[in-house]
Amino acid sequence: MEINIYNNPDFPIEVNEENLIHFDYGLPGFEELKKFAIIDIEEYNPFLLLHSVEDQNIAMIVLSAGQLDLEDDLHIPEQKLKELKENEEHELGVFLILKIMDSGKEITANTKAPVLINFQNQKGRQIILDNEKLSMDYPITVS
Amino acid sequence: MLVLTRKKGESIRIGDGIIIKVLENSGKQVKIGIEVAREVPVYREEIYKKIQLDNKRALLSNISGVNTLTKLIKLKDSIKK
Repeated sequence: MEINIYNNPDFPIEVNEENLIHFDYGLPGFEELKKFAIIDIEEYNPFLLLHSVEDQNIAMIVLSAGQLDLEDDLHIPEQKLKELKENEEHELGVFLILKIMDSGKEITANTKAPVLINFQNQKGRQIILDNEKLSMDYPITVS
Repeated sequence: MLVLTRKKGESIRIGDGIIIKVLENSGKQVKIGIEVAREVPVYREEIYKKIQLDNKRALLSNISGVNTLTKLIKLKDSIKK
């Protein structure tokens, strides 16, 4: 299917069934939306788009958590991982939703509620972590 | 809202898969145990609401006024390939 990025006809992009990620519970705030795609635009690297294919107005910028040096703080309990893994061989991608501050100069990441994606079974979920060190507005700089 | 009175150690069963048990009641705080299928997410309501709000703030439509759209326009050709 073809969707328009940010519902803009100038930015059509093809999304295949095998690239869809199913969020059984939607995302907090968008509980009714179950199907998203991770859109990787080379020039936008390392940023990616988490884009609804059901409501093309709904899109967020995300970043793979591996791009940031917060591995120790961003410890995800095994229990949370198991919720998305069907078997031990499945590996999960961890993505953080970004915000651009009004200044346009600062980008922050929501490390409190990362998005877990299992690309093997195409399931995703935004989880909420208890760790107090994590923040919904963690400032990031990408070199 | 359905209101039920429970003592410490007593439970409530919701549907066929959810059990909520009062573990401790110290006056100001109540410790609750929740038994639920592992795939069902359980959240503290006030934190869930914060995440809802934060996700809405993170929408491209909210931040496109900065330079996100400009960036996307620059990417136009690469998207259409």
